[in-house]
Amino acid sequence: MLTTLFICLVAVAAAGYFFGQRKARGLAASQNTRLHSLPGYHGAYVAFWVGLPSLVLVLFWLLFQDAVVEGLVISAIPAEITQGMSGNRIDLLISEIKSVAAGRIFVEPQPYVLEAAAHYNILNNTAEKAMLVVVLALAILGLGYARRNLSVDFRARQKVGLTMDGLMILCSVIAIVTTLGIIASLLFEAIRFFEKVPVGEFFFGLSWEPQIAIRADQVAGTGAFGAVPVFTGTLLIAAIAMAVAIPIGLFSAIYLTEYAGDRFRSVIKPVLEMLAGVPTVVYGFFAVLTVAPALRQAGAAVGLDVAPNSALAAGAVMGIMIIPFISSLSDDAITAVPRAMRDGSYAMGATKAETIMRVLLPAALPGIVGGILLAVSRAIGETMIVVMAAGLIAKLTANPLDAVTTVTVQIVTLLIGDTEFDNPKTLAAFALGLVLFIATLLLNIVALRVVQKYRERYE
Amino acid sequence: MSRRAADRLFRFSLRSATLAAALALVFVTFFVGYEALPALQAAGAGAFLTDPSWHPASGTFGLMPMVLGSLAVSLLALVLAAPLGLGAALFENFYAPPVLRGLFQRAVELLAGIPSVVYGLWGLVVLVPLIAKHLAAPGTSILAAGLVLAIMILPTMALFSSAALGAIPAEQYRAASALGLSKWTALRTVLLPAAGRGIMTGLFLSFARALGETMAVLMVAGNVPQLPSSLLDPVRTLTANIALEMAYATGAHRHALFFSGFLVMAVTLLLVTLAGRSEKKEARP
Repeated sequence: MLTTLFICLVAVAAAGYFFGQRKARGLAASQNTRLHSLPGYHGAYVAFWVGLPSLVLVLFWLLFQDAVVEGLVISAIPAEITQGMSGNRIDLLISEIKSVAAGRIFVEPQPYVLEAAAHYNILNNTAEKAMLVVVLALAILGLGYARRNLSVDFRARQKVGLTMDGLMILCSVIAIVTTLGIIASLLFEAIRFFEKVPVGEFFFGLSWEPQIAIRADQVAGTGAFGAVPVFTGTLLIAAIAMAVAIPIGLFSAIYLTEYAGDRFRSVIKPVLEMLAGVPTVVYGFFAVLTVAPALRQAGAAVGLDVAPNSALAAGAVMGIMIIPFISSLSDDAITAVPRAMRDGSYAMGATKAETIMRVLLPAALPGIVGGILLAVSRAIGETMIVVMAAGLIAKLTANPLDAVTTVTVQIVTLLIGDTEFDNPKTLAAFALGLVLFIATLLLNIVALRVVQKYRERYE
Repeated sequence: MSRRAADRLFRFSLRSATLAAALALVFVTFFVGYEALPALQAAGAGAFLTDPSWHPASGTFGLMPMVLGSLAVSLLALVLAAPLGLGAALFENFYAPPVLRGLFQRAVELLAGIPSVVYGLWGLVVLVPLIAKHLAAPGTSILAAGLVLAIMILPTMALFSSAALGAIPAEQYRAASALGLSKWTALRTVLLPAAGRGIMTGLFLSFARALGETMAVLMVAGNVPQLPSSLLDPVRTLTANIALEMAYATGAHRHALFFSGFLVMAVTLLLVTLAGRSEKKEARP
């Protein structure tokens, strides 16, 4: 239905563009004078009048249709049934009517529910048809109105320009408002979680067993929401990833900027950047199916007990993914060091290695640190690799051969299989999400600051 | 150790690290290709296209529903995010007052760093119920996945467009204004064409990110392996399919999953390469 509507709207708007353009041309020809604006602007003006009001109407219609239809259905049910029902009970009745209307019947419903469901379907059907008719009527009305406004002196270019300006401002507002909305809903649900579980327990508790805490009254007793092991697990895996990515990324950045010939660089640099383009799900099964078994075998050979989903396997593969972040940002930082510093060092008789270690790296350090911080934020937010390759059980350990779990893994597992989002278990996902959000945000803020300051120093 | 030997050792270790990084990519590609190969040998590439459905247990491996699912979701995200991101970049560079400009730029940079699972969480708990209430139950659909992905790739799109617009010499805009062009006309006829390549880079990278994203999509797309017929149908993407089934897949099923992983990887790597190309040409004066 909506698809049809949109296709119709696009067609009418295109027709509006065509008619507007043609009328403008005709006016100019008949009055034997020049138009104020090019015919295309007249066309675009008409098309805007067709498209924009109708789109706004569709949006509002969809927003309110449901509430209106529900109200009508409820008021059509005999009063003696709905009388004395609480608001909650009525909501339940509505959802029962809706599922019957959609054909999902589990137990034989009451006759009045069946009747209401049929009524609901009829109303919805009518509402959809009405929307199509009303919206198209508005579109055609807009076409007529805008087309009548056209004249040779009509300032269509200015009108189109103003509309486009407005649309661009709208774009930015949408971008910012959606984000604020996301943050607000995270915050709101996290607060609901902290109403049920004390903040202190969440941040300092050492036992994370959310699967046990099914009933609200169990929570306080069992103390299942201590997130410390989850945080330490995340940090452990991120630390392993950085231990892989920092040396390799930094070394290759130095090699590519200071040593490599043009041909070598032109081949290797795109290859490094591709490492960031490999889908994370591919890295995920690379970790599970290749790296983890290999580590296990290697461990067995030297007598070490390696867990099948060890932190080391997940962290190492995550490190590979992160190499390009570090190498490209370090590359920028090293390239930005002024040539004079290099030349000065050589003039003092330092070798290339000495120049790099004692002059270039200290000078480029802030830029490199910024890159590393960005990479850390990437590592703690990464989901797919750890969902596939890390453990599910929170364990407080610093042993990289053990299985640990991460914040992202817990967010995903807490939400699986639930459709109601009001018990502590699912609400905990929001608390974790909020912590993750704040942590990555802080890392990014600090990193961008550091990089910014560094850039200013040499510019 | 003499200074010269130290120098050589230093150079050698740097070179090894660089080659190790490059080898990692070769190794990952080889591993996926090696596991995918039996699927091609057993069924031939055609079977993935022609098999009517995805029922690995009974030996039909039609990837078409997932290929279309991935494309539908990513294209919808791109269609929504490209104009929004470009509009936001234009606003930032040409409309916003200076105070707002820096703030806006910073905000978008920070948005780019939010982990995708946070977006997925929001999509699952806020967006899906909204769609279910106002459009069609159960709400997990192409539309939901497309919207979540659009919000996710919006910062990428905005940052690249903004960088491309910022790189255009200020004289061009001034000259256009001096000729009497209104702001919007100047943008449309002078600045947008000049920034075209940079914007293309952003488009390619956004598309690659949308195609490769797994978790956020898996949480909101419904994951039914069927050919979708409307935006409100649930859909399963290639990446979600791998994530959902890899844990228990064996034999031909597993090789088929690797083949689909290989497919996604090939397409995203192609997009990343195209983006790099387009960026390089941009840099040349």
